[in-house]
This record gives sequence, structure tokens and C-alpha cells, in this order.
Amino acid sequence: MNLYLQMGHGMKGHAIELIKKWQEGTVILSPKNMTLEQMKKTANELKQINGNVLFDPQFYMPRVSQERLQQHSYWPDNYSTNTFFNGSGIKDMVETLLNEYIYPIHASGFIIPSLFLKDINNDWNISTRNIINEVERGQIDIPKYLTLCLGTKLLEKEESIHLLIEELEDYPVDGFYIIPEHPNKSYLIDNESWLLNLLDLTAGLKLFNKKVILGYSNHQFLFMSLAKVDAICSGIWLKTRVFPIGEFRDEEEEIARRSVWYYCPQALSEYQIPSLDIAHRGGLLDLLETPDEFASDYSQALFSGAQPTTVNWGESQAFRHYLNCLKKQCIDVSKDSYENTKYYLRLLFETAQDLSDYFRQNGVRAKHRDFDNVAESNLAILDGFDNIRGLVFSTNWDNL
Amino acid sequence: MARSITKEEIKKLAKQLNLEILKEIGKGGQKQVYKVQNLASHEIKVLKVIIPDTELERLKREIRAVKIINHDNIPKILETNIEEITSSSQIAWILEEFVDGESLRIALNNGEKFSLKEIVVFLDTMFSILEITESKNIVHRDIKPDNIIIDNQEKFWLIDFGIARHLDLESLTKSNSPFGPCTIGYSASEQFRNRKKEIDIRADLFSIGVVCAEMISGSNPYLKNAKDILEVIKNIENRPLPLFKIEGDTQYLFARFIKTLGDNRISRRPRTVKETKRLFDLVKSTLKF
Repeated sequence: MNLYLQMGHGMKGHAIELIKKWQEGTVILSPKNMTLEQMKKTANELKQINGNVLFDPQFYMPRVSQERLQQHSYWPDNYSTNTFFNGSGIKDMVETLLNEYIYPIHASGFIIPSLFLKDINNDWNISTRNIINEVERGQIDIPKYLTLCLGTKLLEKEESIHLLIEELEDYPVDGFYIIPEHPNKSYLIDNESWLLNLLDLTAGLKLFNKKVILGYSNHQFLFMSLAKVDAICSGIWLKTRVFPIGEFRDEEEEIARRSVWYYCPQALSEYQIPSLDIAHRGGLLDLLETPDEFASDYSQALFSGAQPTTVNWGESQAFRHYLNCLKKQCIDVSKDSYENTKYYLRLLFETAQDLSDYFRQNGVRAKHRDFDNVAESNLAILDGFDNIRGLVFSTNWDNL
Repeated sequence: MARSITKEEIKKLAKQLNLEILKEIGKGGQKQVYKVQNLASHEIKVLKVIIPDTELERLKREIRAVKIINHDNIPKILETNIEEITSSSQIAWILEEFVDGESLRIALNNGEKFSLKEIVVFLDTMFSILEITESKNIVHRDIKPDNIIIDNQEKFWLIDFGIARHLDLESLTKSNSPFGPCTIGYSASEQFRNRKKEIDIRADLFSIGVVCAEMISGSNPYLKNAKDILEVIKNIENRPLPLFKIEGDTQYLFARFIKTLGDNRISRRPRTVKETKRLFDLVKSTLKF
């Protein structure tokens, strides 16, 4: 499993720095944060350091989308569900996307736009098939990924998930770009049905031999490697780690409330810097230090021996540290067999659970970013998935 | 409503074909099935008859299916025709190889227990048949204990391709029919819900999974204690097969395999027979007989 960078406000510098460090990588460009010219420039800079780009048209909820998105040339002037999807509207949008965005920025694939799917309905099937038919008419020689922006309601129902899988079985695309709406907009999720259904959905799509990219993700989604998901995407702000449905505006609000969090990869939890002071005082800081194999020099200052709040460790290092660790973890969780992947994930989650619990008992609290809040759910879905898909995945692992 | 064939008409037909009717062995839809004996050769055969204006197209498809599948464990079709009985009535008939044995339904009703080894033989037979049906784009759609014969050598046979779906031919079921042709309790929901787009070999795999569950436990878990057909449907759509404890299944993989075959969610079943056999080979390597 790979990590793709989900572009958001102020992300460009971090993306370039990280792709340089990794010597490869893919960035999903966000038109709500950038103009076409900015995207072309960014894409060009990334190309020069062996980076790839994908372009997400962000057409999930056209009626509530912000002004900056509407200023892009592919955005229809007079959007109306009925006429747009049956008339020339789709044709114009697909052509503009390809000719003015996808090809000029040399995107490595075409993310096909589709509307937000709150729950299974035939109108979505029709409108999406219309878009796909239009895409099929063009001779596109790069991989095509269909956007699946899915509502919580749908993701909570096993029946809906399977009706969706059946609907998607014969779609002529190379893969799917899934954007899930989190239950209660939570960062970390303890809703086991939701988690297992998402895993089940991606497994169903993988068994069609399609590529699956999970957008707007965070470290909790490392479990997706059990369904052999190709990549998860994450960024610097919470709104690039959790799809901000209904608040698809800028990250300004979050920026105003900004606070710096240190990601402890072995505990799969994030801690504010004053909490690290408590760890420092209690002699626990060494346990929170990122292991050497992560090669994350971004966090070194915090563990230099000084009181953490005094070392002026800022959000820039925090963002880079998080994404750099997550990149390594994404690679690490991809094992050569289904059984080994499951075993490794179990070990990872149990270790994180023990550590975060120990830290908390000693006053070092990760608050709503504490993995211990969701560890049992993550462990439960490993067994749940094994029960429903284990045999087939175990046998087909090398072919997925 | 279409009329049934009368006893007099059957007798007349038998005479024309030089057959003696021994007994009626089945009746389904507009089709009647008899065990017969050829008066000249004394060979025992099976005679299937229908009124040609009722389900002739289905009968033709049954003949087509059996002929193109041509498998050792499917009774051969020996002769077929439409016979003029009187100036105003015709009967379409098929003369078929007779398999001496009893149906799995009778065996189960008699409380017969099946060992792991016997169930493995059953599955090997079914997958061997399905390998051919899949390659010929045919789905049996009615695999159930009544359509499986166990002969005197303990060999399993699959009979009755009467509602088989030929994926390369137009469906005979109206797309707005509430239920597709099936036997509720053994059919997957994509079949009884008549979601024709998805009907493929996975529908037969589901039925095989349910039949196996019945061979293991002695009863169909979906039918057990169900008050009516709606409850059976509810069971299929909401209650997955249990994980059975089977002697010799050292790692519960066989139980998991049956559960996977009989999973109501089509995407969780193996997609092809080749994949199914690969899975089954892996499972078999863990069994102790």
C-alpha cells in the first residue's frame, strides 16, 4: 500500500519536500485550493523530482461547493441535475477536464468526477453511467479512476455496500477513488460496521482487479492493507484526513484553531506538545520517540533532552513528520501474504493499544487522537474481515 | 392456465414410442417425468413430457444445455421429438438416460449422514460439471437435493436443466417479474430478486454451498424453522450460513469454504469455477479423512 499526498491549503512546500525525500510519490491536486496555473506549476516542479500528480475535480456536491471551485473552466455555468447529466453538459466538462487540466498537468490518471452518493439509488447509477459513457467516447490512454464519494448511511449498511459492488462490477474503469464520509465527522472511527463495510467494499472492488485509492485518510486506515488497497491519501489538515462533507470550504477555520500535534507512530496516536512535557517529566519521553527506522529527522528536536515546549517545534515539522511516518507505515503494512499482513496489523494495533494506554495512565493523553479509543474496533474488523473474505483473499493475494 | 397432459395421452404416447410407463417420478411446472422401459430392448429410461405450447422453449433449452455440456455425471439425452397424439393435441418429449439410485433429498429425509470424504466427492463432481457449464455460458439455477441423484456406486449426478439460464440467449423470464425462476431456500438473492445482470456461475456456487450445509447439518439452515417463504428470503438476505464444526476439518477451512460459497453477497463468492477449485484444493490439503 502506498501513501498519496492529499493537497490542501499550504501543502505545496511540504509535498515538494517529502517527494524529494522519498524520491517518488503521488500528489492529488485540489482545485478548491489552487488555480489552474498554480497546479501546472506545481505539477511541473513535482515532475522534476520524480513526482506524479492526479487531479481530483471535486465535483461531489456541486450545489454546495465554494466559489473558488466554480471559477474553474470545467465547472458548468448552469448546473442542473436533470439537464446537465442528459445533455451536452457532461461532454463539455469531460472535454475541458481532459484538454485543459489532465493533459496539461501530465496527470498519471484521470479521476472521473461523480456525485456524492448518500445511499443506493438508481439516479446516481444513471448519472454516473452517463459520465462513464462520455469518458469512454474519448481515447484516453491513461488509467481511469471513478470517484466514489460515499455517505455514512450507505457505509453503515452491508446491503447497500453489496448493491453498490454489484452495480460497479462491469464499469469500464481501471480503478476507484473512494472518498468516505466519516460517521459523526470523527477523525478516528469506532463504528465497526462502517469500518468493516468500507473494507468489504474495497475488497469487492479489488477482486474485480481494479485499483483502489482511498482519499481523505489517516493512519487509522492502515488496516486497508488487508484488502490490498493500492493507496490511501492524507494531508496536513484534518480536512484532508477526514472528508469535510457539508463543509467543503477552505481549511481557514481549522487554521484559526491551529495547534501542533506530534504523531507517535508506534502508538498510532498524536499528542500536543504540552503533553510531551508531562512525558518528559515522568521519564516516558524515550518511549514516545519515533524509532530510527522512520528516519524522521523532523521530530528529532523534540527528543534532544530539552523540555519539548521549549524547543520551538512547529506545525511545519509536525506535518512533515506525520506524513513521513505514515508513508513508511503504509509500505510496512504491505506484506507478501494475506496471513502475514493480518498478523502484522494485529501486532501493530495491539502494540499501539498497549503503549497509548500506558501513556494515558501516566498522564500523557492524546485526547480525541488517542488510538486506544478505536483499537478494539480496528482489531475486531481484522477478524470480521477474515471471517467473510479471508479464504478468498488468502488464495488470491498474489493476483490482487 | 395451461392444461396438464392426461393419463390417456401419456399411455398413447408410450405406445407410439414402444415404451411401458413404470411410474411417475416427477412433476414440475408443466413438465411430467416418468420412469419407462423400452419394450424391445428392456432398457430403463426417463421420459419427460410437456404440452408444446406451454414451456416448449424451456424444454428446447434444457435439451440444448445437456447436449452441449455432455458430462459423465449428467444423464444423456437419447431422443427427443414432438408427437401428434390426436389431430388437436401434441406432446413434446425427451427420452433420457436413467440413473439407478435415489435423490439426495430422499437420502436427507431418511436422515442419512454424509462424511467429510463424501461431501468432498460431491463438491469435486459439482465443480467438474460447473467447469463445463461455465465455459458454455450456462447457469443451472436449480441445484438442490431433489436434483441430485446418488447412484448405486455412490456417484453423484446432477439432473434437470429445466430452468437453466443460457447467458448468450435472451432470458425467458420477464425482467419485471418479481421473482426469477428458482427454488427459494437454495437460490441466491440475485437470482430470486431477478437481478439478471448479475446472474452467473456464482448463483450455482451459492446453491452448492447451501446443499453442502444441509449435507453437513442434516437441514437447510435457511429453511429451518421458517414459517413461510418470506421468512426464508429474510433468512437468506440477513443470516449468513453458520461456521460448521466438521470432523476432519482441522483448521475450519472447509467450514469457511462452505460459508464462502453460500454467502448471500455475490461479491464474496469466488468469481469463477477455476478460482473455486483453486480455493478448494487449498482447503482439501488441510483435511484429515
